[in-house]
Amino acid sequence: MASLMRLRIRTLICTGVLLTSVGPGQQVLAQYHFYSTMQDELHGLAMAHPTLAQLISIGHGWEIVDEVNNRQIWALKISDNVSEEEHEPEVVFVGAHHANEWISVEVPLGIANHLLDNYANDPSIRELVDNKVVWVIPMLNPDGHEFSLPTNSCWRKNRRDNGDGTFGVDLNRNYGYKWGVSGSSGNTNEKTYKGPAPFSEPETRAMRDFLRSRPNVRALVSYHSYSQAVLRPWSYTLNFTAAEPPPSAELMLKDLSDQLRERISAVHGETYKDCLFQTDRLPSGRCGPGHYAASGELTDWVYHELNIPAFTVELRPKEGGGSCRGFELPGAEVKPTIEENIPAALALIHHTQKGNSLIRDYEGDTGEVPSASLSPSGWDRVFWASPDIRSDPAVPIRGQEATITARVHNLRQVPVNNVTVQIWYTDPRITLELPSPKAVKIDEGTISLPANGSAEFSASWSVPTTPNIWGEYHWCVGVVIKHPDDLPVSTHPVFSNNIAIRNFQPASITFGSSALRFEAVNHFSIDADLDVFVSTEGMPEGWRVRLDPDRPRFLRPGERFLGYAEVVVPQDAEAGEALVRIQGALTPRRPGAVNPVGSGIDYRVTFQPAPAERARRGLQHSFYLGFAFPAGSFAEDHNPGSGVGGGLEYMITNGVSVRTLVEHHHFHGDGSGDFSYTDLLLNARAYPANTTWQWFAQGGFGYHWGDPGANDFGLNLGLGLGFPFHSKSSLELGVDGYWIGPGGADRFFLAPKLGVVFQR
Amino acid sequence: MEQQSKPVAGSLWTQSLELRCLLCLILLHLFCARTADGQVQAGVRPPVPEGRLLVEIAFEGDYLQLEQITGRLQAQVVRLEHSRLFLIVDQQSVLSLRQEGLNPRMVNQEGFFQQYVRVEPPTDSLIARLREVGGQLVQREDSFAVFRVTLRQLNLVQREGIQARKIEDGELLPRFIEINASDDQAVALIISEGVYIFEARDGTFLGQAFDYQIDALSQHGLEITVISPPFDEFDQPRPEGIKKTGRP
Ligand SMILES: [Zn+2]
Repeated sequence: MASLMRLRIRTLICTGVLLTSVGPGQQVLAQYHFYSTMQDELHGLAMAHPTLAQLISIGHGWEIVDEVNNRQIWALKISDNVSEEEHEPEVVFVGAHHANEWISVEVPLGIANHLLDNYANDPSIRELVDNKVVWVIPMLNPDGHEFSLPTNSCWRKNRRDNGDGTFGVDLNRNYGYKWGVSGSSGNTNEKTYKGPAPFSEPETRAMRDFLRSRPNVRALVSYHSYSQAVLRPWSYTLNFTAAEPPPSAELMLKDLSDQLRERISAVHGETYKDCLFQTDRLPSGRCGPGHYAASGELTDWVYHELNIPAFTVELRPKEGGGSCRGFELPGAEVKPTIEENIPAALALIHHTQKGNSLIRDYEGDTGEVPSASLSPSGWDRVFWASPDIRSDPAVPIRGQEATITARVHNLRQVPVNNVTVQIWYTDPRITLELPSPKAVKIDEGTISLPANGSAEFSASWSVPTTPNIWGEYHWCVGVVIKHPDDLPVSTHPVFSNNIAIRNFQPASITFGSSALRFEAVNHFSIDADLDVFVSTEGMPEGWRVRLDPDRPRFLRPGERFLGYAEVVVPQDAEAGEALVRIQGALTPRRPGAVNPVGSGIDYRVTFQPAPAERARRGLQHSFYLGFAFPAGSFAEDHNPGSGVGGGLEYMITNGVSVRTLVEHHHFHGDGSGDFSYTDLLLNARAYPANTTWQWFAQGGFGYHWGDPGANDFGLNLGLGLGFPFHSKSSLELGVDGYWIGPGGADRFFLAPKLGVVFQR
Repeated sequence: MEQQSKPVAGSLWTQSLELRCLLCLILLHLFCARTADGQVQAGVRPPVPEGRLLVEIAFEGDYLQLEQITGRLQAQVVRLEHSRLFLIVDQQSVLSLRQEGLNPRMVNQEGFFQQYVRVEPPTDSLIARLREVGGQLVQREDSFAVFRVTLRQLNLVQREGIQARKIEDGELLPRFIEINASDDQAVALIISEGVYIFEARDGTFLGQAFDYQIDALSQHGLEITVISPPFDEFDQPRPEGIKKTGRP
């Protein structure tokens, strides 16, 4: 117990060097914006660029500054025609959730300045601003920031009066997804106090309500300091387990995160880590020791709620050297920190564009997102049925190969090379996000797109024979396209023009030997209606033709359909023959009168009834005649004679039966009088092979009444061959050996016999 | 570049805020003096407005459902803790909650609400008494200690003549610490104790913690070093009695 209680606390004596090191001196502060100077600068930008920048307040801090004013949470909207709602993709850059992370105000402000300063002269900036909406929210926590700058570089929270003598809620622990589950505190005095309830703070409510009001937001970056890292969801957990799996978009998030990190380090060579304190993740994808969980955090909520990529960027410095020094980034490092983060921000803005290459969810898709809408009855049908994905055969067949083809469009006026096309399939009951560790990649390749045209990529899909987790034969084939300049920023098809999905319900049809196959190909450049007709000649009565029920009503240009017709012959049909003619006609969907184009294929179908098989189960009776040859000592005083018998046979299973027989065997006397046996037998019989000639073996026991006298038990054993000569009857030839009175009379005789068997 | 400074307007706000706080303090002192006379034996009152009630309901929902409930009932959320939601509501809302089958339970307010109070000097007997009534020692400085107490506990010790007053802004500051933690479990423990970590180097974490957190982690066998900050959290003079170098 004593050892458990030991308190190992040392106090270090400050060295003179540390004590004299510079605090948040004037040269440092000169680089940072106060709430008021930030507000002035934002106002100034909006006034200087009235068509490009608009300043709105999305809410206010907790503190009431005076009777009418709170500190506002300012958001600068940057876009061409900024006062209009143009439904362009939007990106949000937000800083200063944490009061003392002063540099996190400067980076989003720097992004705003960069976009507006360079709009006039830099075509690449103009392209971004003209086609996107960028939201810059430099200071989400104005009260805390005001309290922190310039003298309290340890103040992190907002300025809620907790009523108990303590102040502040950690705003980045107050969001509503997984609030309070880990990495946050319930004690008001602590630095990571999560607040009394999710979204209890006006600052987080402002962010929530703002994001909810902007349905076109496609990506978000939340700036913090320090340690130099780009973090992605989830923050609430560190473990990737079945109970707490990684985000379904992990691959996509990592892809984007790696790009941002590369672009940052390309500027001044500074490394931004993949975890809080670690350059690379473990092979499992998770962060190693040191990285800690934080729940109720903004990017978790954004990813969960809006299904868009959201990143936390921890800015400079890499290390702070103890106390709160790390939050006081030296003035000389402010500008380089802004500089190195601008290319990454521009890349993210770029990626949120509509896309120059896209895979359409429906005809006439103009690249607007989302391309399908949610109605009370569910997703718009087209969402599930991208016309840019097709299968050959049109209905994939379980356990067989299907060729999946994706068509990709180029909206640019110049050719685009190196477009990566990935074809995946996924259980729609598990995920519709792609790429995803829960989906299966069928194939991947690159294609080149002609100017303002389309190109295709095909892959062979081994269609699963098994059902999905709900027991349905239902899979979604998804196509993801990627291009170095044109990354999708969402993993959900409804948010992205780079992902399309098509539903497939693979059929279980297997073509039997009697299937008559046909093929239809649409060589027109437009959709064509498909009609299939069947005609017959000389068809015996009762026969009919069943046409493939899954044949499509129409075919897309270039689409091929492999179908079948099946001749159905009634039971007990006699042998017969017919001509079956399958004709197809394609009518292009062109306005006005159009003649269909068609061709056909003739099949001569003959039917030969299969030879009657022995009844699989049931009763049959038999009758036979034969001879009886005495053997051994029995032959000494008896001569061969004749035999006659009959019985019932019951097929227990296919191949095994039991028989009961009554027989009479007559033996001529050799010097003495004639002798006969009347037998009652119980036998088992086996038919080892189901062939036309069916051989069998049998054996059993019985009681034999001798005349004159000598009644006795006996065993019998035999072999034979049966030949069906009619669907319900067959001939049998066999021989049985009898042993009467084993161990007593010991009489033997053989009885070859010819019989006829009738099935009932 | 010239040094940026707060605008005049900002300073005015601050000044007016300070002025108003001063006024509040004077009023508070007047009120306290009156109660000290024994004319009105009020003690520290819970912050629930007249005519409203503190109730507790079981709650498993997410923040959207929380919004629904509070919006519908005009309720003020006081705390959500381990699937128990504490609300301040009026009588009508209590009836509504009952009708909805949410089974509201009245909460004893004096046992629910807490304060961080400062006592001085932090003698062993004073600390022992506060612990005895159930208070939690948050931090022990040279000339004072800070306890977390419920209003019931506070009123009890105040009746015994113990001078304990609610802390003021900036009076309770965590210490800078260094913790050695090499594995995930140790890190998870540190975080679950509410310790704030801002840097890590080779298995050593830099963070801030209060005495009760340091004690808890030490009891788990973690090696903790209280470090003197190279400079203080506040450059300006600290409130009287706060040590600059952590614990001796
Ligand atoms: Zn932060």
